[in-house]
Amino acid sequence: MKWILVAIIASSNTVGDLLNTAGMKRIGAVEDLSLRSLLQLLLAIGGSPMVLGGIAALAIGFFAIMSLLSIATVSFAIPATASSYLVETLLAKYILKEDVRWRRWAASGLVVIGVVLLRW
Amino acid sequence: MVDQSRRSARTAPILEQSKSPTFTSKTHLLTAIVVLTNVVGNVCLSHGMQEVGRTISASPADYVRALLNPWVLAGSCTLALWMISDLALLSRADLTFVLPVTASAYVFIAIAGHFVLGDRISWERWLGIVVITLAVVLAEETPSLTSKAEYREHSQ
Repeated sequence: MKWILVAIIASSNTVGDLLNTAGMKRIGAVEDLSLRSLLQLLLAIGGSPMVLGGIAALAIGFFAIMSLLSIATVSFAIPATASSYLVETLLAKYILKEDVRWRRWAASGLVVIGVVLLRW
Repeated sequence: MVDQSRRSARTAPILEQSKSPTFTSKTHLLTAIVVLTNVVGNVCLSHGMQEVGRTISASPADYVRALLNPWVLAGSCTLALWMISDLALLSRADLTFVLPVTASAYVFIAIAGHFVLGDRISWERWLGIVVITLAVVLAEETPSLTSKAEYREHSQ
């Protein structure tokens, strides 16, 4: 059951982040943080099935992590789900066509190691 | 979402624009907001949830009851701001830039726990803090936007 929840959390975080990134790139770069552009942003998000889907996926991940924390310790839950950083990096390279070179690979690998050490 | 100063440059492809110092400094400001709202939101929420007690329930009513706690409410509102600023950041930076850079929130949460709540930090945790900081520095050195996926050009 633990590992099923880990799989649900990792995959919903991955899908959520990818959908949000792709959707927000289509909406276009947010230029300032005035109230007006914030409202425009909220309207644009409401009209973007991709971003709404991404937020829904992250919400599923959030409730799955709450359930996991009820049957496992934080020091199991957080490192186990941190592995999604590497999967997201791989998918961002091939699906979102991001320029991922050694610095970014190293950065996401170090985040995973760092999160494991923090929750030891 | 184009401000006046950028209208003249709107024909320039976004990838070229993203190399300008103005674009980069706005991205960095937004990154700071994302990290700050993440840290404050999580610290408030976990403090509040400890006051409320364990709420692992299938019933939405229990979560609504938890929201009556001022810390839980403040944490949830701050995390809503985090979600919006994270989306705004993803509109102008790569996911593989945003993920490692915003992981600095883990470091700030651990340090806040140490200085505010008096948590002891073991040597493994200090090592974790150093390793994540290194990851943030490495990712910061890469250009923030390289994605060649469909990107709406400024054309309002």
